[in-house]
Amino acid sequence: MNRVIHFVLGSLTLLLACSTSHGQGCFQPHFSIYTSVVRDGYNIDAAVTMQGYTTINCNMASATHKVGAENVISGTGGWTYSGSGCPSCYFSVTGNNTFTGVSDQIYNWVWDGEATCSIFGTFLNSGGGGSLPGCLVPSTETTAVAGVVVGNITVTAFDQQISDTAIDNFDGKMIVESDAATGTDSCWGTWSNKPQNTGVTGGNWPVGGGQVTGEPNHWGWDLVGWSTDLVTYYRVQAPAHGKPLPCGFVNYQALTIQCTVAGTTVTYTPSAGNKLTADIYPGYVNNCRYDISGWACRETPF
Amino acid sequence: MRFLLAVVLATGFCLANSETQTQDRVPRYMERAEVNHSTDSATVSASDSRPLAQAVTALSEEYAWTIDFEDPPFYSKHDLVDDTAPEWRAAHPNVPGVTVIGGGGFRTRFPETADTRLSAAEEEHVLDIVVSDYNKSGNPGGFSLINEGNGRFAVVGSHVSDDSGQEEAVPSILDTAITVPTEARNGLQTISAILKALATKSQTRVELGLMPWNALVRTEVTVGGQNIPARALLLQTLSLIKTTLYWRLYYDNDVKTYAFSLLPLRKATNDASGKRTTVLVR
Repeated sequence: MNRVIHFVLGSLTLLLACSTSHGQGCFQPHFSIYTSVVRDGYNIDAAVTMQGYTTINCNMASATHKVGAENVISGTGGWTYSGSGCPSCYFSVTGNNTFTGVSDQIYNWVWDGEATCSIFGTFLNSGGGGSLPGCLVPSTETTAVAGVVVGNITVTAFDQQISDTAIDNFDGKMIVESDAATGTDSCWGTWSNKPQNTGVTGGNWPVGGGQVTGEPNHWGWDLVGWSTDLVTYYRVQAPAHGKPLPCGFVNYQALTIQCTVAGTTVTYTPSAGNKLTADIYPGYVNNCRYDISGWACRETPF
Repeated sequence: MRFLLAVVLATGFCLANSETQTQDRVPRYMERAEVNHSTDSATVSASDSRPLAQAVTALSEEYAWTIDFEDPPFYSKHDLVDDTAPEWRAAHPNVPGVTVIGGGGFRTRFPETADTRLSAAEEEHVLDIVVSDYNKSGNPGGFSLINEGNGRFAVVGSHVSDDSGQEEAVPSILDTAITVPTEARNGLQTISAILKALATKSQTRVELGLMPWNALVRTEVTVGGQNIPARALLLQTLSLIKTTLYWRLYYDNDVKTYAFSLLPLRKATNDASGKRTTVLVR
């Protein structure tokens, strides 16, 4: 349960694929190091994974290989090793480091990965580092339809609820959105009377404030959809330009929550982000918000 | 002739020719304009139905410049090309088809210094060069640059081709003086009130395009005045909204309508592998 939030910090931290002189060009390693962080309230589970294989170009029948992953947070932690196996075997090992963060604290994180040959010794070693702020972070977020925008009923208002397993209070913290990835706009053409809609607009919301005042651990509203003018425009213009209905946009929303340390925030949505969609059909629009722990859609006749 | 020139320029960027395509009735364009840097200059290469808008967006994202863009009201066959889908045409044989602005390729080069990104004077100088080069490129329309103050600029359509292919000066619709009651409204209501007054005064349809709903609805502003250019009221409104926004005012002659879009300012970055992404400028 406390692994509900899973976002990857530089999901592929390092891709190691090099032609090596180790073993007199006898083998070529193909390894990657991944790091990820799972948060639930103040609990932090940082993981380092080393995985990959070695291409063998000579006779190494008597040799064995193994890999290791180092995961050290503020001086605590160490190496985790795989068992030994054949030189060309695929190896994967993960070192976890789980602790309870304290607000205002910044934890130094050092990770490393290595591959070792019983004959040639360590033939690959590379890692990196970063910092992890102690921060109260939600592990779940649900979304619900709250209504539509006055004057633009084709835009849907969504109300979100965040929580963690300790049922902490997040009220007053700021939620800020950015793009998790570039979105798509299937309505758009070079003939369109507007630019492509491929990104979020950078909204920010205080938890428990604004339009959700009186709703603890809620934030919102998050408004998703096309203007009524654009819906009308695309219904007429898109088919004439060869774009069939339905058409719509998809945005990928990353969300951060404010920590108590000034200026420090933590992203709590998955690396792929929340998916926000708005589709135009001949007689209605359908706006959806796919969140960490659920989704909601509103079909509005228009 | 102008269109032919634009098409010839576009061929350097295009992979397909409109005459041989059934899916693409106009040349295939670049996904976005590119900005390439050399020792003391930079080059922008664009290819789009609105190549200047594409170039301006690339510059905006390259340097985090706030640049507004406004179409002139293109209407003639010298600026527009047919873009009617064959299957739609077959189903609607007696109805006029639809068009697209007949832009093509555009390339411009300007001096670049260490101050280019941060200096408003440098920005104005660069944009002057870009607009001037565009006006000589053979692409549709003529444009001028307006310094809107506080490091903000607008590239504004000032000329179109008339039915005989002659250059015709056109005023910017956003320079229309309008009256909007001064009162507290949210940002969306205020933008809507300005556009409604503008449409009434200019007798031209001006509609809402892309809107940053969250930023607008959650911000209360007090804006208004009598006989004030719409541009001034829009700038006043945007200055009260925390998110840095720029506008795109695009005109579609098929529906005789402007669409006013507001977008958040973004800055382009390249990661270690060279992959380009943009981040919101806050």
